[in-house]
Amino acid sequence: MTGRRCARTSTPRQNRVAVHDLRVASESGDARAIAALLDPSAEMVTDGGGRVAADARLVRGPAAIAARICDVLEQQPAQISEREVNGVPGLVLTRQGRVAAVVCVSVRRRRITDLWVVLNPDKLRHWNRPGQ
Amino acid sequence: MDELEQAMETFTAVRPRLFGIAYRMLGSVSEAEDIVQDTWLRWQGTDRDAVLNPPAFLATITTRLSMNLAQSAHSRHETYIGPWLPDPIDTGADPELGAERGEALEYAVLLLLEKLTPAERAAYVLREAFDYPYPLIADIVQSTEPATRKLVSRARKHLAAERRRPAPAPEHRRLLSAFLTAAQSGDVVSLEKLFAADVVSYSDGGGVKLAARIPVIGRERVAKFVAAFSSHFWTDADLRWVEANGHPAVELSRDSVTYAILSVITSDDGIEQLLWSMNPAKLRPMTSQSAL
Repeated sequence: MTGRRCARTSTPRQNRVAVHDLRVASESGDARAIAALLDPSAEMVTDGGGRVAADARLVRGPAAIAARICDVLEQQPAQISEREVNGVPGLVLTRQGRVAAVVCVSVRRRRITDLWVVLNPDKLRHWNRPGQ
Repeated sequence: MDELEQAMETFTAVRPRLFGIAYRMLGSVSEAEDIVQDTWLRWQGTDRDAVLNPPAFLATITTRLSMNLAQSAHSRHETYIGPWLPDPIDTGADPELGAERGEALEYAVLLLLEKLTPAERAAYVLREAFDYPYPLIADIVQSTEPATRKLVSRARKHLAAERRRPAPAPEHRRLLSAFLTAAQSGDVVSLEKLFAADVVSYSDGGGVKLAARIPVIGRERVAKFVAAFSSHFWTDADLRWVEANGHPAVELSRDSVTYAILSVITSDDGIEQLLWSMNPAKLRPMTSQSAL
């Protein structure tokens, strides 16, 4: 370990708490609770590899993001679990035992500033390899 | 142990590290796996007795292959439909994909790395994630030690600076539009006002068109650079707004032939990056898509 820290804007603990709260709020479909976890400037970027409608690729602001999360989970329910993704806490959405989405977040001052959602199946192939 | 077994053993010991380097450089699991496989093939074909430091030798191959691929990956990401994100990796369950250690793996960092030149990216990854000594990094990226230190510090500056919010879409468009006006008239003062202090101009001419291969950095230098080619570059240009990687960009054509795509990265501080894509081979897919 070098002790240097780059672009790290929150502690791992804050990150874990934010991700946990996001999972709980998303599971209960509570848009207001989701919005309360988000920074006013929050953005949700979705990589669907062309499979996601243009207007859903970039969603800005707590209310719009929360509404979008609730809509998606209502239309396509998924099991949500907290997992370590790219070295930090993230969320994994599973449908019929297959990973359908992976969500990474960035947290600043206890609020989520960025949500990165990967839906592109090509980018999730290694999450669905046999034995995993 | 026979010779091939020994080669395999040496390789297997550093495999997670090689994957870790390539993944951070490219943000793609499959591309990183291909690079690791290529490294193995080259290692098999190497006169291994002549290699003094096999782990460093293997890291060098992997990094250079990644730098080459990063060059072309950049344009593929620009023409990707919708925003491009790195492949997520499961660092909790799979220590192999854990890419050996946790540094510089977060999305925020990977997305910023993606905006750096391949050499900056390589230098940063080798230094920050794997703690390589500068002389070795310089050797790997085929540069001098002072220049390598500069690469790392510039990358660090980009990353460590509190990540700035991208400007909202209308402001992004306004900045690009104001830039076009100022650039065409070669108005240095107006250009400077549109730029963030550490603005960078990247050109990709594919070695074909006259283009600065080295990034131009800093408000004054970029303004002068842009103003310097104001006359010939824009003459008789047809400008058309297109979308590149989810943001408004401008396509420049002359006599119905596209010769450049200009996109910008903006923040509250103004234009952070100018990206000039002038490689004819890379303009084709963009052109066919621009009816969006």
